[in-house]
Amino acid sequence: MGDAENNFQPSKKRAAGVQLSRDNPDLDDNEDTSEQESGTFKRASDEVLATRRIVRVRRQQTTPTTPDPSPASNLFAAIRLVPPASSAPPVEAVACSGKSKESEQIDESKSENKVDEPKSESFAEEENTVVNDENAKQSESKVDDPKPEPNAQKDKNVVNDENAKQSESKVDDPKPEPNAQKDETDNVSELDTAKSMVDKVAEGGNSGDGVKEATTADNSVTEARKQAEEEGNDEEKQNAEATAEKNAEPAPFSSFRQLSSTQNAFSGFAGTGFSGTSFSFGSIPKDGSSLGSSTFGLKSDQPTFGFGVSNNGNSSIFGSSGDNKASKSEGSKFPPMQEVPVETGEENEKAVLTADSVLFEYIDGAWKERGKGELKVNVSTTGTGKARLVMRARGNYRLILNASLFPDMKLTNMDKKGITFACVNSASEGKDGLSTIALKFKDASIVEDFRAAVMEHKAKPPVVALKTPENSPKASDE
Amino acid sequence: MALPNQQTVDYPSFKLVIVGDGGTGKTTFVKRHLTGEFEKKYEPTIGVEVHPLDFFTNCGKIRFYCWDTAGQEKFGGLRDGYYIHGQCAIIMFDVTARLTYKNVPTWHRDLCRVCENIPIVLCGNKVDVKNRQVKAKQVTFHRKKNLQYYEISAKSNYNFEKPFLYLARKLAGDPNLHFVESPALAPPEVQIDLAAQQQHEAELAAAASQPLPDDDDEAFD
Repeated sequence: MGDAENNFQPSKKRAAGVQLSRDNPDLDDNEDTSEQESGTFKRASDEVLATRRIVRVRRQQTTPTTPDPSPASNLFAAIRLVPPASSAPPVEAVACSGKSKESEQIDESKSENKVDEPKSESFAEEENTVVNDENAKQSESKVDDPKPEPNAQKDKNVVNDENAKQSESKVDDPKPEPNAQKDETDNVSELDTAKSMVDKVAEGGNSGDGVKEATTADNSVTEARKQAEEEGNDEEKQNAEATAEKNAEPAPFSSFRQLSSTQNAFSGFAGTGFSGTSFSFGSIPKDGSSLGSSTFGLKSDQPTFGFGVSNNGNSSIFGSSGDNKASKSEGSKFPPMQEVPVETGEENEKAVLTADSVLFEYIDGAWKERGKGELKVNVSTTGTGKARLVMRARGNYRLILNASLFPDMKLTNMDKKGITFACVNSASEGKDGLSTIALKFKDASIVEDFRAAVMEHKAKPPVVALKTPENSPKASDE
Repeated sequence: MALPNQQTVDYPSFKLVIVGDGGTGKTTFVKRHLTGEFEKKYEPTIGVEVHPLDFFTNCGKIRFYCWDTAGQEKFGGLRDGYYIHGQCAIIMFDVTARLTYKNVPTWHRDLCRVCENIPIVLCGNKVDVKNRQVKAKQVTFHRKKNLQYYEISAKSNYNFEKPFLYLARKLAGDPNLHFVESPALAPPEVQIDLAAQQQHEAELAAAASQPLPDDDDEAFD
């Protein structure tokens, strides 16, 4: 079969009998790459090889300059996105890590990409997928378009620091000075391992094997961390140690936490294929950041949010709970909302009657419901003797009735435990005259209680109020 | 965001897109929040209606501009043109009409094509109805798409604030955010003179004789 294929190659046409498969994609378009990638086509005729060799030599030259531990698994390993000034150190770093952890080849390949371009989540996701495929059977199916756009990469590069910080909160100093860069590489590899696992868990759903994978991820995290530490020592990088320690720090309190904080950085992107990050940096910063960033940005350590809430809309519930670092990495249009004191407007009042009720308003010859909730008859405690009706809708606490009692107020009982009266309801917008209001209570006795309370507290003409003590609010409150 | 003729507010405001098949109760749901009214009459929405809806939270006031879109295809207007710059969304279906649930994926897809990665709440409306066609455990779409799901009833007000609460929490990034009582400022001292009240007498009398709607006796639980 191989012979047959290669015999046809010079003609640049695919033989009828040759099938395209995953192992030999576009054989006809691009022989060189296909041959090199797969390594299984070694039987080209000699003259073909001779002509081709030139090309191959070039390829080989590029490969060593970009250390690529696992070319097969990582199509992007060859792309270096580090600024020219500091391009050498990271390369070195990756190479070193490659030496020290051969067993974790996959991690490295990922870490490379992550360090370079943590920004492009779709891209990152693809990488994850590749790795996932190798680690386990869980696959994401996004692998089909692994082409990085140069521009995007440049951008990523520019915002590299920020991204690094965001993606892995533990790294304090994301400056691309050589050491730090190296550390990052290590850390990222750890985190990525965890992350891919976490992703798997997340995708794997709620079943038991998700848990299993989580533990696996756990282990690999610790493994990776250990390695990172060793490596750091070997190379005598203080930064590396520092970072490793930092990473180790959360471990005692739970490796789970580690997982979730890792999830933070990327999970959101992975979930929807839409990048919160690019959103906020992108063309619609206003809306985007209001979503993405506020969610990223605001909350730290909210264990209550936990898993109960899905990561709908803003990816990183998990992350936002774990990471303080991530929070500040994005600007937001929607500033963190601070807790504000709640003012009900009833601070100087006392409710002399509260009762569940339904409020109706008579409009155009028909009763319209205005809401259900708790009705209160409030009396001022400041001695002014003013009284009013206040009612808010249950659930949304919207004010639906806010009306002063007045001396001539007349209450009329209705069928079905209702009572009607006229008042000026300042809670209803766009109407400043008298409204005809009805309240429906649970049972008739409450109707009578309400009537009594209103009758007692509806304001007297001021002159009269002086000499009728039983009507003054003080006296009336038993 | 806000329409040109809408006044802007100095507190956070969000564009909320409400979609779903015709007759599922989108407009009624919005109206219930706006005025407290429960509208039984079905009048299809044409195109879109935008209503500002304010909520008071422990973190201050926030506003949703509710884009109540037409469910019926023939009145769809700009359709997904209304979704642009949506910051959160509600997808509504009717638990008494299976087809409206079947169409949820379509609504979701259309929505996500325009508004990627926004918080979305799936609402199964009319759960007060005795024989529903879509049981709670048959609703699974939200799990696949990581949406929040609420069973609501615009008629009985069951869970009717939950979708807004969820979205507000998401948008504010504060899982502990909650709604608080809206302030009741002292009502203006209005002198209600007898003349005005007598003028009002007639209406009062008419009103008193007209029975209150009795279809929500279960309002008190």
